[in-house]
Amino acid sequence: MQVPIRPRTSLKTNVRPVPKLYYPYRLVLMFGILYAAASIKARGQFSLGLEAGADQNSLLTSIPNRPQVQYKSQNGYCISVPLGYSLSKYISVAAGPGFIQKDYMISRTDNLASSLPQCVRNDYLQLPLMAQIGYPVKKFLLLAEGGGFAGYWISGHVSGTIINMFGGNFQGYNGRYEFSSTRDQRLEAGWTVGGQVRYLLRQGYALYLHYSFFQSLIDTQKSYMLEQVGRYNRTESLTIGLMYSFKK
Amino acid sequence: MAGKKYIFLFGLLFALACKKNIDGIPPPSSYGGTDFNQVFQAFWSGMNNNYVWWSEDSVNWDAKYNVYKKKFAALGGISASTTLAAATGYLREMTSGLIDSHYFISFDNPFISSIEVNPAVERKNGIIRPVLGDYYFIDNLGHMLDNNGQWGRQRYIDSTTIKGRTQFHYQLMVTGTIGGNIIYFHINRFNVSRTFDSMYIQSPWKYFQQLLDTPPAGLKGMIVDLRSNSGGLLSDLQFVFGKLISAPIVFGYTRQKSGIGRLDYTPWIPAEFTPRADGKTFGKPIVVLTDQNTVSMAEHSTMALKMLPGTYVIGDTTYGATGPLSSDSTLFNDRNLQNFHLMNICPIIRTPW
Repeated sequence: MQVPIRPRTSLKTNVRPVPKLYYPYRLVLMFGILYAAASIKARGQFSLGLEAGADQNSLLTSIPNRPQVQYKSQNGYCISVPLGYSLSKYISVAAGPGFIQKDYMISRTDNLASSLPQCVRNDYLQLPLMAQIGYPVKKFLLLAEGGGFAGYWISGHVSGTIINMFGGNFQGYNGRYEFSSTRDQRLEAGWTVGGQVRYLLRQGYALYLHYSFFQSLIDTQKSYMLEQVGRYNRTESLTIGLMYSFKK
Repeated sequence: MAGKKYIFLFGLLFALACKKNIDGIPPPSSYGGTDFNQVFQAFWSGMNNNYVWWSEDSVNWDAKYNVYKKKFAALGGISASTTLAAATGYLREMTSGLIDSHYFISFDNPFISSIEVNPAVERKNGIIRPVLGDYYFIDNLGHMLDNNGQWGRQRYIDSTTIKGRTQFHYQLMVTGTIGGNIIYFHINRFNVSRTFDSMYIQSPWKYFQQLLDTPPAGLKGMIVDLRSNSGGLLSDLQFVFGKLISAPIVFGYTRQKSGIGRLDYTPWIPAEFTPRADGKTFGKPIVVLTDQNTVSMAEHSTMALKMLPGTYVIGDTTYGATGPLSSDSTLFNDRNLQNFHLMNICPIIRTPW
């Protein structure tokens, strides 16, 4: 395996750093889980729901050597089946297996910006595992959540426009993304935080609005070349859902 | 309250998610040119991120980094002509196995401006036959045409910089008929869409258009002579041959670099041979003549014309330079996704000239 080589720092360049990863996440997460576990009063109530909504994904990377190209965030949709298990009055754990799109666009910044975009739609199966803290306010329940997630890149789709070299006209393309076993890292994992506002209906049902933030810590590419620049998905989703809590 | 405490805890988790940075690769032009470390880094990175053949090329570019970074570093500052010559030697070694037949390196520095690194030329040196000169097409072959045909020669149609000097290409066009019922057309470089109305070229060009618009009685077919054609403007495919078809024909596929990773490409996208507005199906046999100096756009034209029913390619295998196209960022494969850049076009009847 090749070890990525960072460019020499002594060189004067106009590289602007781009926010990337979140370093002591493991320590903080472990501390949080231990702290929460110490306060558990077992309640043991399961809940099951369905939620769907929109997401926006950005590809975190850096391309100063492509001055006329930029990566832009794109919108997609997501759907999941959340599962919950309450551990105490305030604490619960949850999982949300589902489908999520992590799309982005490559576009130019010059006068061809509107003519030569490339849209990349990536479909993932994803499993977030989270700890949740609840705070009831009358018929509402405010939930803060955090944890980790793992995902698998199941398919991709690429569409865009190029210039037809032999005719001088613009030519569209639209097709399946061909995975490369050398290039593509299809497994993904990272951390997630989010929040919910639940409106408690009758008979154990709750309607809720859910915001989630997913930061992948795994490059979407395998390490296959020197001076490889990482690409990490960062996704925010906003969904609505219906949850049913089973009686104990 | 316990709830507020936990919310605070999660807030802390979010806030402590401290950041580090993804370092990008600087553009080659941002490196200074004062020592060979910078020269090497600019060259290696530029190739690493931009060379369009990494999906096909077997050169281990990472290994080149490990070997030649030290060698360039040992050269020190850019001063003596001896170190400059050594550096060009290293560049020649690094690139000698690259399969891109359009690839070459020239140098601005006056000490080494006469040096050119051209892996394909060095690989083919002494193997391929010389280019057929003007005398062959004008004097020898021209006399075989009815009424000696019509020919024109346009100078300075475009240029390339080779061996530190800009060389201007010229364009030779020969048009005529054989036996009154076979059209003959030769061109040695494509740039007709820019030069067609020049005083030098317009005569054979207009004659060619006239023969296509009003074919001779009893027309048997056409010979398109692309021997010793060094390529040129891609849009000439439609301009020169677009009269022969009435609907677009997919004759290959292109794909472009879509990122800085070596394997970042767009999907393969159909490459179309598109008709001119006045295009109509030619409907007669076409013979395309090729030789070992049928290069680049001449090879694309051969592949496109091969798509027409009744077209035969006769001659020698072509040079093998069908990509990259347009700013060195596009690959080209034929309809079967075969890369003739590597394999050359093999005629149905092989007749070395």
